[in-house]
Amino acid sequence: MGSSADWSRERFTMDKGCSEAVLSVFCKLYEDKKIYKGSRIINWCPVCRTSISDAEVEYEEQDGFFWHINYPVVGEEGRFVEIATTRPETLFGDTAVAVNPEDDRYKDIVGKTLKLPCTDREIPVIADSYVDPEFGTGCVKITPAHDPNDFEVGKRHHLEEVVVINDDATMNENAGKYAGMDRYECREALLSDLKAQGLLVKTVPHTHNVGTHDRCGTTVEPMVKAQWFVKMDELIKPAAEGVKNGEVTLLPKRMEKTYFNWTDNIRDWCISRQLWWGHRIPAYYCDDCGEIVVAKEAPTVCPKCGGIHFTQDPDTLDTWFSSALWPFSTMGWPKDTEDLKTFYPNDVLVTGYDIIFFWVIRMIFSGYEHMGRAPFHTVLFHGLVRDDQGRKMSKSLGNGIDPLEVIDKYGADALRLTLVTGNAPGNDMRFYWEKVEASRNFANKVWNASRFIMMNLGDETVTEPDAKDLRPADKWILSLVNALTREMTVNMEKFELGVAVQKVYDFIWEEFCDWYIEIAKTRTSADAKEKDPSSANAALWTLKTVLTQALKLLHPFMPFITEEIYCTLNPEEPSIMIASFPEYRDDWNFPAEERTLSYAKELVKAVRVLRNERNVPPQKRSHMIVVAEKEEVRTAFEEGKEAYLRLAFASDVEIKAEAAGIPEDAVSVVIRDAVLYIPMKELVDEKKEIERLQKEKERLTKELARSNGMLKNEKFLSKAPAEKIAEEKAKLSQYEEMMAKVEEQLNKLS
Amino acid sequence: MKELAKTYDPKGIEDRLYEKWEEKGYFKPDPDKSKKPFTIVMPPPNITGQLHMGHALDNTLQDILIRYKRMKGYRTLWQPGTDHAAISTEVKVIESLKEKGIEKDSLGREGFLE
Repeated sequence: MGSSADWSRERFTMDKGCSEAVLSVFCKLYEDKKIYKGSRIINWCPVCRTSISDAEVEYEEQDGFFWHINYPVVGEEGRFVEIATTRPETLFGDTAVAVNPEDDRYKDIVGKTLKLPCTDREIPVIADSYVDPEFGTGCVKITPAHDPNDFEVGKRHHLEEVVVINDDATMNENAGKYAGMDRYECREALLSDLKAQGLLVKTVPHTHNVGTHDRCGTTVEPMVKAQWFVKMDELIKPAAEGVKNGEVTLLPKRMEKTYFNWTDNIRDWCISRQLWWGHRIPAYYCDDCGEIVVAKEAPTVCPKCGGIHFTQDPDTLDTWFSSALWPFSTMGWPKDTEDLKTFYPNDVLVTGYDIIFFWVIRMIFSGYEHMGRAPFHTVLFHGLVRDDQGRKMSKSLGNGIDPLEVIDKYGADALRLTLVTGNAPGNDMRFYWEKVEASRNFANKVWNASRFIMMNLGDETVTEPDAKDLRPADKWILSLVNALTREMTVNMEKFELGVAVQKVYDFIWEEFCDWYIEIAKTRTSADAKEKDPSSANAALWTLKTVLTQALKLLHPFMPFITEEIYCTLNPEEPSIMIASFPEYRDDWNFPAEERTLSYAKELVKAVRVLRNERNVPPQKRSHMIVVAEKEEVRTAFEEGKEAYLRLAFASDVEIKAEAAGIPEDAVSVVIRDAVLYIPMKELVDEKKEIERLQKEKERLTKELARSNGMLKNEKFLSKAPAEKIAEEKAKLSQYEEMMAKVEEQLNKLS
Repeated sequence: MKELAKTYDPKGIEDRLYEKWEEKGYFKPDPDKSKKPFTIVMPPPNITGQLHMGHALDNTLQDILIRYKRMKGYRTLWQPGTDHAAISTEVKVIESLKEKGIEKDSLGREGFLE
């Protein structure tokens, strides 16, 4: 890719230094009571068999049901409380049913006891304002061990937490005869038993959000487990404040909404994972008294009982725990190194918007907490690269494109140009092979133009001309590359990389290659060099100077091709990548010449259209008359002569204030501030043109007859497919149009 | 004057130039400590992961900024590295062990990590 990263400093989140940083942070946060171990409800992945953080849960809408189940009221034969649930199998973990205290329907049953169906347990009815009386039946089963909201309710009412689901999502012994069944298998069995007992009131289809593990897609099981947590309420404050007060800028700005949505609703971060590969939690349990000791190294003596045998916590840390420290752990922290002083805070973070929660927010609060400063001042988010149909590239779709394959076919520069062109912060983009081809074509254009310039330069010494020796075209292209430099610098400083690259692309392709090089050609031929060496020198110097500057402007985007050309063009220079980026200079600002050349270009474009319409052979030169009322326009055409005469296939040009004396048959075109005339006989050989037009008329007559015949043929009309008929009709109208033009031109000539 | 190859052939120039840059130490921060630093840390890709188009985009944007700032006279550092990617690595290793008929638990913690 050409990445100019300092590979000699490559780090790994589990190398010695980074592991040291992880240990320090864990111990420090534990000491500050910002890390704690607690039984909390966490997201459990039954397939990966580990807890996962909130950020790893992806919610998707799924079609499900609300099952309405009757719980009998104890001591009141025939009276029931009807609850609605999407997860009947968690019934075995119910330790209460809750109603809203304001709900008049249920005021009298609060405090009563219910019989939990299919078990021999009884549970109370409690009142809690968390219950929405409008939702479902207004009665909610409370399962503190398997639902985050119920967990909170349970804490408020001191309810027991009954775990009923095993780590592999099968039911445990608390599910009675259903123990050992998978959670979904149990659901079916339980529902059929409830139905048999007449306790299943109804089944209502219901679409709801289901949490799944972003790695494997398994439905996440909320479970109460002893885990390690980072307490977020205090830690998140400076991170939210830092973005609010502009210490950290998020680009695009709309990412702030996502950011604040997370910081405002932050929950404690579950950091323990039931995995072996990772940073093992530095917590040691005394084998004798169970005391927890958190330390960088295994303790030797228990501070509580004096025991000397310890067992380390088997869990490891969430992988993002170490990457959250990346901006300073890679600079040597916790040691106070020279690098840390120099390179922290970092400047910019470039990353995908999909890891804002996992990584960006955690780096920001870690930076404030451990370093006292934000880790960077700007976060530049980019979007996803999708396939040509706008789909996410994925293994399962098989639509991923390997960047190495693209580089192998088209080169790294073409891939880079493709990826940055049209790129806007935060926006997704689509990948098209055609775009890579276009990028390669641009590289070819740059290469060939440079080769042409170098061939013209030959072995001659080119010297910087005096300002007076520069021709209008030279000044014009210098002025343009100068303005381009200023604009690109503004764009780059604002991280508008896609805008900047488009500007240098357009400049090189159009202004420099298609116009300036073409204009300069007349002055650099062997003949011209001899006739006017000062003009040749000025053109050659301008070609070399502007090319060199354009290469520098293009270098960050296409490093290889620019280096190869730059070093060939300037053999005394070691490398373009350590050259200075061009700066705007006042003495290269030539507004008058910019005006002159804009007229010249317009004239040339008009002549090209005019000649194309009439098939004028390129070798045929013509006399031209430009009529412009304003004097300064006439001056511009006068001064631009050298630039446009050859490109406009003109033998000479007459510049006048009024149209008197122009041949009547002259063709005229209106351009900005002027009218251009070319005598017709200068353009076409009348006899030949009449012949050509007559031939064309004959051909069209035949085609028209054929087409008309077909469209009047009943057989064709009834049998041919509709698109075939439409196609033929389109052809017919095209022929008619062409015929009208041919006839019009013939009339003019004869 | 030196001449450019007749046709543009990226293969003929890219590896050679990259080697030259690395050899000359251009990727390291400029030794001139009076220059203002400009730092980007590279989001560490997973050690087990494959380079995909998202990385290519990520890297391109970062390199453009770093190269621009370097030419602007900053003392640039683009800090690279990799992530141990706890869960995805462990799952991958378990899968490959399974293919060989080995269960994670039978190896024990030390054996597995090895």
